[in-house]
Amino acid sequence: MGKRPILASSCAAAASAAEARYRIDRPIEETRRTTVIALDGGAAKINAGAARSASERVRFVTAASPTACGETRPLVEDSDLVILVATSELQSSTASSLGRVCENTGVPVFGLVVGRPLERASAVSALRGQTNMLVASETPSDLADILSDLRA
Amino acid sequence: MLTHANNELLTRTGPGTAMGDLFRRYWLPALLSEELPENDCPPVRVKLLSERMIAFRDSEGRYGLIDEFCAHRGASLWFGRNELGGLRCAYHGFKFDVTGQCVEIPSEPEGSTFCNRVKLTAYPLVKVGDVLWTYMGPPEHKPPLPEFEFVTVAPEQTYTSKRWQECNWLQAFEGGIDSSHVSFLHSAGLRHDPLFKGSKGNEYNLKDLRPHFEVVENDGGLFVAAGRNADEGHYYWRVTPWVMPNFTMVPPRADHPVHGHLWVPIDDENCWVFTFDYHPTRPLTDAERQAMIDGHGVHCEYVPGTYRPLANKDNDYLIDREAQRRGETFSGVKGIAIQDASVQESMGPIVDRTKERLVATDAGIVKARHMLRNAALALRENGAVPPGVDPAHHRVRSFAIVLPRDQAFTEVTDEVAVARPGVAHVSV
Repeated sequence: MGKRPILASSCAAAASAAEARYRIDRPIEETRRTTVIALDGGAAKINAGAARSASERVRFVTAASPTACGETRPLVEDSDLVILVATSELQSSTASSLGRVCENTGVPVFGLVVGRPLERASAVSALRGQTNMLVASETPSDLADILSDLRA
Repeated sequence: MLTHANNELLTRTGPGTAMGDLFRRYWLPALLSEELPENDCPPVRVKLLSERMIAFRDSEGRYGLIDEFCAHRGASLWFGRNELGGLRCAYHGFKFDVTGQCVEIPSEPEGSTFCNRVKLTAYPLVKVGDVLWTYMGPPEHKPPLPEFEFVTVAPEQTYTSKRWQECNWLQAFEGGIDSSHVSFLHSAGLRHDPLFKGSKGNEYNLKDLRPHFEVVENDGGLFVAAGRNADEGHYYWRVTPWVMPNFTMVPPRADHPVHGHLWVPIDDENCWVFTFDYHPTRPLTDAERQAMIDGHGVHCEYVPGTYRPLANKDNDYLIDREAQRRGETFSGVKGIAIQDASVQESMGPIVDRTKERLVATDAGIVKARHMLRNAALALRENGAVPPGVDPAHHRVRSFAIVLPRDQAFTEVTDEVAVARPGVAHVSV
């Protein structure tokens, strides 16, 4: 049986503002590469808006057809995170093609569907099986927020 | 990750802050009704949103929440005498009613009206369910009273507790919309806790540690959903509603009571966690109620005579490494509430979110933060009424359901995520 801690910094009481001064202050590593793939025309416009404030580590591409999706495989494999952006214009065949591209790459896939609830429903369904996390929103600026908060 | 400025914006709730203004547009839980059990009972100190107040129940049963300090010389009214329709300062006898109005200054000459011009800040304090709620905002914007189902069902169907959590409200609240930690931090509780065990959903929970998450806006806030593999071709969905700014509800398990929380800032480094458990269609059994009192489920045991958890940071949360090794707990800390409190308090009084490294499954937290920020700024800039003020937004339920993989959980929310009196919750 070990000794019980007695120092302020060696027990749960260390969760104080004073002890916070001693936390190691080293910059957090940023995401190496994030790829944001717009899956339809509406999504391409959302991408264009987010691209204005995004870091250079984020690349924005449009793959609005199954053929175009197939060409994104090298980009997906070279990413830490893939974000799929869609709107009510999404074709389900595009979503499933992109899903096959991402399959077995080990890269987390985040989906963002922008639109009013009834209009976006089919896009949400189409992306459900292709993503680890899916956000359904009416707010196009969510993409910029997500990129920023995930350090992309 | 948040910028320093946004972290400050979201975590500071004192007077004059943007988030403080936002909170001041909602009815907030101030006390449990058990804290003022009878007329003329002792007053209770209350600090909310960094304002110190005193709560009392006068001779006619009216509740008051007024500035803690006497208008005369600033003595605490906690020492006051609660008698004959008001709270009398123990120092010189100034007496105040539940509206904060001074009604008597014994040292003034007979016939003096001076006391009419002495008034303390006062906020309404109203009993709804087992909770005393206050509204600390502009009187002209006072919304209708809260209609969360846990306070509208019959008393025998509901139980509410509260506990002090020693950290900022936001990091406590964020645990309430973070479904991905349940399969780890709370995993053992699903097997053993009397208020959780025996649900088919628990099996799905424990089998699939990589759920698919969905975050969907609704009128009052969000639905945060976790879909896990269930039987062939189906997802087991657990759907957590968040009603802005601070109400979350845990999806139910089997026919157990359903529970949730309201996360209330005391000041910027402390919060109250009001925790409720209720059943929409039947009284709680004696065993269920006793389990809640004993600290099972999402409740906790207390330091006797207080609302401080018995397991707290001064005793390392009574961590038991042997129980951890045996698999009885994941972290060595016992109980859902204290498991959450221990890790959230360990982050510091206000976690430095500039140093976070969020992952995709944190999208609910990302989205909630931006909704809070946007609502606070819209209120400040345009006076926009924030989501969650309308009582219609309160009539929401969590749910757990098995659906075919190609069916969206949002297809059933109109039916199962709405509180309907006498209708059972949807659970697995």
